[in-house]
Amino acid sequence: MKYNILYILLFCCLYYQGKAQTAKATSGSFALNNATIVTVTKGTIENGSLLIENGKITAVGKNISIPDGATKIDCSGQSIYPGMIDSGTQLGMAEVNAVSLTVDHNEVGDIKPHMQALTAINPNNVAIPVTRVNGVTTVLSVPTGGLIPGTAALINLVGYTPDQMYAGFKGVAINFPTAGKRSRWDRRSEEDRKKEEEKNLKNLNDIWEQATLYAKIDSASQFNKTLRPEYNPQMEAMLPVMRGKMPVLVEVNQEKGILSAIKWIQKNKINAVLTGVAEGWRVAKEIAASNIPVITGPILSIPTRSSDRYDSRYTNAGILHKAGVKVAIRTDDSENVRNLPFNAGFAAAYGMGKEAALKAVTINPAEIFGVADQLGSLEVGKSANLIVTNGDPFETKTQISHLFINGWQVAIDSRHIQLYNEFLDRSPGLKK
Amino acid sequence: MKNNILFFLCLCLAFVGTAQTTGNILIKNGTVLTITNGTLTETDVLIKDGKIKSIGKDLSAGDDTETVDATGLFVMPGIIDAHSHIALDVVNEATSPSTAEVWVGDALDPLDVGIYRALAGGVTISHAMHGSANAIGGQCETIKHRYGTFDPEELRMVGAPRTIKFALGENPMRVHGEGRGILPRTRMGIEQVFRAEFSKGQRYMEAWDTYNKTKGKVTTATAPKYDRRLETMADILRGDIIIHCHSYRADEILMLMNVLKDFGVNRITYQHVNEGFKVAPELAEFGASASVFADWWAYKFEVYYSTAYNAAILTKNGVVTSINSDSGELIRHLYHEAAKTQRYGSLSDEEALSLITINPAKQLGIDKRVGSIEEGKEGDIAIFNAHPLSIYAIPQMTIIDGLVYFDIKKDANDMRVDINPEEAEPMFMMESKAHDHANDACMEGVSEQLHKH
Amino acid sequence: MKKQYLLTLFFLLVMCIRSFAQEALSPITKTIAIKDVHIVQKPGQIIELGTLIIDNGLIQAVGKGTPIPANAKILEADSMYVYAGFIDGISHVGISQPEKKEGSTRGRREKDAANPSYEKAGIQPHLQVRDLLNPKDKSIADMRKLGYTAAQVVPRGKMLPGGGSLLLLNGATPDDFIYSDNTALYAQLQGAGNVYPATLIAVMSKFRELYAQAAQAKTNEKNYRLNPVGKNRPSKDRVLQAFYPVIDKSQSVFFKAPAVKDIHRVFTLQKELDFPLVLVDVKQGWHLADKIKSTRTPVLLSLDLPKDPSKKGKSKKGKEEKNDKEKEKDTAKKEKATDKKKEKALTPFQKKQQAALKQYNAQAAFFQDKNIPFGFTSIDTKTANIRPNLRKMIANGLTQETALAALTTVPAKQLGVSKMMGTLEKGKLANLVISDKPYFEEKSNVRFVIVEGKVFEYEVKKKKKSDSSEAAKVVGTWNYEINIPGTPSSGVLILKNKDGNITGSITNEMAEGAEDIQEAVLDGNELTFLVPIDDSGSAKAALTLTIDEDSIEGSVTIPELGSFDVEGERVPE
Repeated sequence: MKYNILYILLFCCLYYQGKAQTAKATSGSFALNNATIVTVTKGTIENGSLLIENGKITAVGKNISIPDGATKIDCSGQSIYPGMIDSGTQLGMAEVNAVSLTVDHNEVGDIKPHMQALTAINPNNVAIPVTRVNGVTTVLSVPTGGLIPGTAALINLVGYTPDQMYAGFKGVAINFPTAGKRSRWDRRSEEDRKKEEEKNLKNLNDIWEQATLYAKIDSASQFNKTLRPEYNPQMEAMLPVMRGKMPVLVEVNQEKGILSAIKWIQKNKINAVLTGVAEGWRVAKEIAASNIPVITGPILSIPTRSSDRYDSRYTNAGILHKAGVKVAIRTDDSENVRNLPFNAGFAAAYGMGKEAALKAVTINPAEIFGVADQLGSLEVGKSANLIVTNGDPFETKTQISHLFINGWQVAIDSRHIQLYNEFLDRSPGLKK
Repeated sequence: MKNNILFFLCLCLAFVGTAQTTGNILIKNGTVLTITNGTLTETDVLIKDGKIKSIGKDLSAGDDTETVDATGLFVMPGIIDAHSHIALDVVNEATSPSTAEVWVGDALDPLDVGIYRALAGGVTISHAMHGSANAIGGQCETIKHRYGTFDPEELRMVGAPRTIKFALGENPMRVHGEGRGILPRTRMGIEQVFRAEFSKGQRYMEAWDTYNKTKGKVTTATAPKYDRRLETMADILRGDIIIHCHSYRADEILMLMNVLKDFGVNRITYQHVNEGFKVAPELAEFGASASVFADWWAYKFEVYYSTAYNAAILTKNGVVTSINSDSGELIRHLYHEAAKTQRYGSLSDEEALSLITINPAKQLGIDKRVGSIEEGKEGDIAIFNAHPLSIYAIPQMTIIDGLVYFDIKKDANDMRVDINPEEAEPMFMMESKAHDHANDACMEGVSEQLHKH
Repeated sequence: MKKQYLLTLFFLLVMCIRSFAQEALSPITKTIAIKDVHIVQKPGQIIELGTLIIDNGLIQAVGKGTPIPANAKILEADSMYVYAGFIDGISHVGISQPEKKEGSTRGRREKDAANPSYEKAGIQPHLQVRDLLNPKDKSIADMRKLGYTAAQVVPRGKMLPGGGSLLLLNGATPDDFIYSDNTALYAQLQGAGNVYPATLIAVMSKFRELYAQAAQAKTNEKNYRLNPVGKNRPSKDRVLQAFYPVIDKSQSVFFKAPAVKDIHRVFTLQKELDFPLVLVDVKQGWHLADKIKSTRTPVLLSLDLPKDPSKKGKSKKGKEEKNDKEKEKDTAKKEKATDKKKEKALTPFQKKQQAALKQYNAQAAFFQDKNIPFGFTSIDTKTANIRPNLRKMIANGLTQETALAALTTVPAKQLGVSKMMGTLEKGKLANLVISDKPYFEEKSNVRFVIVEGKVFEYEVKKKKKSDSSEAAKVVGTWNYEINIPGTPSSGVLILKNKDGNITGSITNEMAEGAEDIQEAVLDGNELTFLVPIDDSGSAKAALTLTIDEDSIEGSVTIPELGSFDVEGERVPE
């Protein structure tokens, strides 16, 4: 009897281990035929074909020649879209947010640009397959907490090592100091919040001054090693930022904060992206005039003030877009990044329009992150990050039939789907 | 200045004046999604004195009846949320593993602007629930979103059955076991809370029965000491109160069904019930309902083995299922949450819409009154510019008892009812993500009660 | 040894009189006459240049041309305004704030939060004010100075803080204060925070439960009295017993209900349980005015008003030290200057906010216009804000008559003491307030408050700087003598000129050490100042001296004792 139980337990473990992994991705040459191809940047091609070779898109159009040996996929009645990019998540950095030892996005400390998101990406995070089967193929994973939470990394949602997943962009995240309440559980008084804002702003400026000096000394030491500054991991991590090689992701949401962040960015001549920007609609003109791109979201969130219109967060992206701001959309989520298309859909419905909303999750983030040569649209030479759907990818009803990331054909499979398959018609059912 | 004040006062009065009454309205020529009787194109719906009087073509009404042209629009029953915490000043009385006697209906907040935001998502009724800090939480209240009144009484859906919140798993374990070092610290302990409280309730009921029989006949007969907690348990045992139980894991769901069987209780809706899909046949056999999230998972450990296909699996297994919000954010787009069952499980339009209309109505015991567009039912209607399951659908108008409470064309910027006279500018506040710290709305107010000296 | 203060002797004397035989030893007559004053007998009824006679704590006569008894001390109140002493409908006056416990208790968890003691739960309806009253609490003198002579006092606390007692605002021991006990059951919708009932919902439930249990216990007690044989002894729970008078409807529940939702909730409880109710501390009552009227529920409006945020941050910190009057002047000026500008710049949000503010400020006027009688309560109102707030309410439509009624006749009626308080009529308690101008005028000062015949006199503070040349003349060292019959005493007064302000110190042969003089004001050649004479510093002797080159002459008024002559001369340098 005992043995039996052991055996069963063992079996269960093996079974679950086996089931926990999704089917292997395959690579090779693929020809997606008879599809409506929504390239995003080069119009829509009806009844066209798209060729994938060596991980890249090698041909898009009608009447393209299909090499022998390419796996042919008939996409009649279906559409091809670029894989969607979520411009701000904690995907891969937390397994269960309430279980602190599984949470890797919030390191101790306030100033920690040296904390690398890419280090903490778990390629086997259960949420990754759950996300990609909804058409999100690339995400920016951003550390959290403190004034400078860390360095974010753009990853493709396929691969067994972080390096395989890395999609070519990093940026230092900054929580720009504001006096707003963090949440409704924030019990700090208005005065305390203002004090903290001032303190943090001073702190940020001090850091910037230090980092500027550090970069200067570091440059000088290229020719004279005796001049090398004392080793400082934070300052080391800031070097690419100070030299303009790495952008800063400036998280700011409150109206006044947005304006002072813009001033701060301009004064220090920083290569920056504004993130969050929940109240961007109040100062859309000013943001547009600054030419700083914006990553906003989640769209599905409630107004920042009780006196605001009920839909102020739905309409925010559209208002910014119409004011001339380059907008990307994010979910700011970890386990439900799969809702990116729905966030884009709401933005589209509430003033942004479908085309602009699609760009906000494809080509715009690719451009903001400087990876538009690889991602964000269906063009020859770009990475094959794409989805095949039976309709508009923002529509909830739409199903995704094929998924390619970095040229790998990835199975439409995830733990959610596996549980569905197992339990839809449970066996044994009610019987003992 | 004076004019502004007058205008404001008028606005208030207008609200107060209309809130109590019912209205007449004729909705012309819409695509009517009846839920229980298919989809009727180019159809009129006439609401008279707050009730749906007739559904058909070319209806006409008297001059006292406002007419809404719904040509090209979609008309559905007002959306019902079987699990929310909006319009409440208190969610948790987290001081005891059982607080059956407390009632959030005592803490209704008609001034919560969240009510208006819900209306702007087509939601006319919500189940304002006690939180999940205790194994036996407080009694809940089914409310109609009659925004604009200052009177909590006007929110009540008079006649709706009494309901009570139970809770399994991590939340009561954390509050009482981890928080105070008392039972329950485990799911075993939670079972015993139910068994103890039901047993005490049974004895209390018996003691009163005995007293009532001997009263007047035996001179020494003394009434048992009045105890509201046990009164409530007795009412559950009598079948007067529907249980709505916060739950996640399959094992705990089964546990409670076993307890209820032992005490002869059978009216229960499981809330959240993320692993309900694993025991769908058992739920169906018991006759228990399920009210679930569309896709929330992995924010805490007990929801790690979830699937967004939960609603679809439960529905296909014959469990009466609804999609709820448990959130002031999600409640604004329950139509979208329901639509997710089409991506995750390919439910039909009717099945998906039932999840936010007739099914939650059944779970709250109000399905004879609301939840579908049928003659004789209450005039609660949501009108959309596109099919409500489309991502591009925008609610246009929300009607309760024949009165318009949301009209996108008349939507003002600032819809607060109660104005803080000491607030110079509107407070900026980022709502943290609903499940950032495993702090779902269900646990509102708990940490204050645990940590305050 | 304790530091001895100047005039300790007098203080000791006072104590002796108090503790042994105030009546017998009192050198002052118990008959007081107030003549040639405007007597506001009751709201709207004024006797111009009338006379009011007090004898032995009661009003002896009120009228025009009333003869003044030969033994009467005449109060120097010519042309002033006399009102019935104010009654605070519900108050914490004399109940000291609980001391803050040292060390942070945050993070401490209550293990048995489900079954706390009554004390922790905030359920103590049996508590009595006389056991909690601190006769020396500063709030008593502060409220009295505003014109309050009586207050229904309730303990501080949470859900059920205790019972109410009607107090006269004067006395040495708690018992001295009590006019009547068991005047109210005070209740609040406030949870205990960390133990049951922690929140509103548990408070509501607990109130219902206690009420029903009390009814049961009361019946059981009655039945047991009739025939105890074969029955268990009934409960003697003092918490339940405290409900009995309410159940009998011989006592009202004074329920605190500031916000509109609170009022609704209290009405809900009242409707279910049918107890006699008084709504207390109402701040948003206009929403329920009709209901309050139709149910004839007595109501005590809050004297607290919201702060206008548009005026926030404009005054510098130093200004906070200014007295209220000056502050008001400042804001009044600013208001006028900025009103026009502001109106143009107001955002829609601010317009709404200002409209809301107006509603709060006009609540009393709203009730008045609806013909709903109301009293006022000072609970949760800073004492310093009471008079400015009354004026704000009047500026928003409240008449002075109604305001006065809310401070006098209405609370008297609500408390069932109309026969003895609330108006100035023969036979009633001699509770009076006398101001130099009509009370509700901005520039008016309270000059006398009389509580049951006991006179409290208040000097008008003059803050204007003295002319430096005048000031220079008084600087120096003076020997002085106080002529108290039987016990004359002498001492030294040193006066200095500090930027036109007079400072200095004073000694007396009867006391050790020197005491600084306070609030010195030089007007022409008349110098007034105060000298603290007891440990707490709250009792002060007031000196008024006329200075003529090298001699001084004047008087000193010592609380409890009276006024005495002072004379002296300059000590040559």
